Amino acid sequence: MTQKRILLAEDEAHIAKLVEFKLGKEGYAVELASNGGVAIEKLRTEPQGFALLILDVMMPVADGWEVLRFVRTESAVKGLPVLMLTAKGHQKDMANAAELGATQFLKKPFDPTELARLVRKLVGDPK
Amino acid sequence: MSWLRFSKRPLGVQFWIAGGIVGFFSVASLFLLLSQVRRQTEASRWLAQTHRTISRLSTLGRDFYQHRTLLRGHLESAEPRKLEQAKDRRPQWDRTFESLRESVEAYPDARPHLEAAGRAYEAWQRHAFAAPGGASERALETEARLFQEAWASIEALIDRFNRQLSVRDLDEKSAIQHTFAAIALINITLLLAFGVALINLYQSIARPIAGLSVGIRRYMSGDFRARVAVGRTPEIGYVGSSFNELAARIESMVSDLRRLDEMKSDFLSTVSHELRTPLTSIGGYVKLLLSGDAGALSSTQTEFLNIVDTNVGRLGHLINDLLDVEKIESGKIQLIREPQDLSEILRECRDSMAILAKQKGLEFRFTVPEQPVFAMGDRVRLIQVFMNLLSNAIKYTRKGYVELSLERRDFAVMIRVRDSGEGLSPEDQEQLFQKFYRSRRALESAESGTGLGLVIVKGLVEAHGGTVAVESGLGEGTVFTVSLPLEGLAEVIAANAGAEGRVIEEAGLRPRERVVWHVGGDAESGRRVRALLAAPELDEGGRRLGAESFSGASTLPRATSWEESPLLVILDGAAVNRESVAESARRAGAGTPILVLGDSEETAQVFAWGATALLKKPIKPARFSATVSDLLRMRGRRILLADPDPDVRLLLKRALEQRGYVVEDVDRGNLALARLERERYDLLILERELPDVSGVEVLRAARRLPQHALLKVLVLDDAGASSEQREFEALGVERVVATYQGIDPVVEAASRLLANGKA
Repeated sequence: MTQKRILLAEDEAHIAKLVEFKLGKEGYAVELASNGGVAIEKLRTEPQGFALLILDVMMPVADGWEVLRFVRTESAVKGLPVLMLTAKGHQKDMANAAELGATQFLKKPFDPTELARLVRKLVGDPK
Repeated sequence: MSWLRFSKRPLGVQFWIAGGIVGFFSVASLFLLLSQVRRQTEASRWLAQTHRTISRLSTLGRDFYQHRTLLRGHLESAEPRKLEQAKDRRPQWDRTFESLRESVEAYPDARPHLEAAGRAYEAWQRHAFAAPGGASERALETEARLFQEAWASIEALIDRFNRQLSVRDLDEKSAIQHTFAAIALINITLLLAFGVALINLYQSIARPIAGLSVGIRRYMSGDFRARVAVGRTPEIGYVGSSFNELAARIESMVSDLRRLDEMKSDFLSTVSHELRTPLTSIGGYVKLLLSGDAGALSSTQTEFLNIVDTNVGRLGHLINDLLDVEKIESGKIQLIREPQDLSEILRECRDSMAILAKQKGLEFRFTVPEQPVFAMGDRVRLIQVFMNLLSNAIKYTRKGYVELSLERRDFAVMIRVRDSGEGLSPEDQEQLFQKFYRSRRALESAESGTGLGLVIVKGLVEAHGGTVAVESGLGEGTVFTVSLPLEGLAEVIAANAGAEGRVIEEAGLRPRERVVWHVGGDAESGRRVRALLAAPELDEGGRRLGAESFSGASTLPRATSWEESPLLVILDGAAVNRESVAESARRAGAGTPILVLGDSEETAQVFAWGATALLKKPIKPARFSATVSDLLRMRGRRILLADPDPDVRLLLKRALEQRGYVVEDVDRGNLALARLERERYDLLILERELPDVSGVEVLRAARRLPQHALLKVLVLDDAGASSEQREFEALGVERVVATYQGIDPVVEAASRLLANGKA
């Protein structure tokens, strides 16, 4: 079986690299989208290509909420689990996100080990 | 229109003009009335006098006639006695005539006529007295002629006065009519003027003021765009336009303030995001390095990286503290108020802080009662408060002890954090709760701090309606006392009472009464239904079913909570119709079964109206008992389903509803809690992971609600086996069901639970 692919939408290159490194270390293949628009494009072209979407909230072009809304309304990718990276102070938005159908939340700043644990819980082993 | 111009004049002028008109007309009508009265007095005096004159003339005529009869007798038959009698009458005539003369003084034109009558009389008398008794035919004729002349002139006088009388009478009548017509006209004019004035008053004062008050009320309720219509009269118009101007000024001030406030909040949230992003990076990489993922580290490297990690954590705390302070100061802090067990919260704080105390060689004293103590509050925020105070106490105490204690008073709970540290000077105590203030002991100690912790503690405690006090002295240690109110909240009382092993009734809560509403029957049918409900089969633990009778559905009370709604509604007699069924269902609350006692005409249609069951008269007791106990069991079929997944919710809801259960669904923990607090359910189906409040939290809070202490619970867990299994068991969860097998096992478990209490 091939590696499970995870789509990461994150505009901060350093954080993206951190996630990529940790999850890569765990054995997942991480595909990076540098903003929400790119993420939506990638999901359009490869609707079945990813096992998980990790979404940052604050991003240029299309923010995390918009991507989430796209995922939950586009039938081809409707079932995709979504892990949202949020910051404290967005509790109100989190309630929104729950309504929109986010699967899991992780508050920033986060421990990479915790992230890896959550990812494993959501998508299972990398292969 | 000139009228409109009038209403545009200042109010004072309007009142003067209106007052002048009213005054003029009033004086005029008074004058008319008075002159009419005077005229009437005059007329009645004249009338009296004229009547008197006429009566005197009549007397004169009567005397004259008798006089003549006597004289005529003498003339015809020469009776000397009659002549004497006639002569005797003469002075009486003279007296009457003299008084007539006086009367006639007032009527100058009548005098010559009276004198003529006098003269005619004199002529007649002279002739009559001169003639001898038994006079000649001729003399008699002359006498008769003279008599006729005198008589005629007296009659003419009487006629004359009578005529005058009737003329005057007509005159007076028409004068009275004219006067009253004039007065009536004036009054009608005044009435019209008043009407017009009232309309004007309404339009120029009442209406603008009513508009003004509506505008002010709207404004006060927060609609800063509210404006009023400006009135026509200058004064009212001025008030209206002043209000509008004031409103506009305040609106612009408020919107400026709001904009500033928004800018501040935006700024803070941007800054915190901008600070947190690099911090996430730094912290993440440091943790990555520390985890060994990027290669092995030497012990020095690990030590240094740990220092970096600690400081990243501090910066993160500082940002959180700043955001909290901003929220507290702007009043935007939102508490999730629920009954909280303070002793449990304090135990949790002890468990996290005791290690720190031990590391510093401090004794950690904990004097908090074992049994729960409930107060309303936000769990996360309360923990934040006590952790903050405890960490301060541990930080600034070098040796001795730190003590956490709880004391329950009648209306408050006092939580004390005491330390044996150096204590605070009076100056320090004064400024302790100021932003960024750090006491001498804090500055001298090597411990770091932001100077925001106590500001947040104070803000959070005050947001809970409580107070924080500090007692200290140099060398005496410090005590922080947080007191939280135990308001007369039913939940808190019930929770505390339950916690102390007392039953709910004693805490003042109404126990679940077994009440049935009987609607629409007469006294006789009420007695019958009561007797039927008293059947031993319907007893539950010695508690009988009681009936409350109501004449119609519109007289039913409105049940606002599960406590007030009846177990069953029985519709009888006059209340057996569509409206009553619908109204009873509304008033008794959702899920209350409705039993119709019908005559033979009602059949399937009662079910279309919304009835749950129908019994046809005459009613057999055994049938009644069986139906009622079925219906009461049906009431135990309300399910609350809390699951974030809309598909799961839809499927489960549909499947459970097909089995006849009443299902309500929510997607979040807080919504579930709100429903549980307000309503009563028989089964809770709970997804372990909810987006806001976890399943365990929901359940913990639900157990504190008196009506849900024994609630049956099914937990859904996608993994099938949960790390929280033990906690769930402790909270009385009947079964944890794995959802990866689909919904059938869930529906099965729910049905079994509701049917016989076993999952």
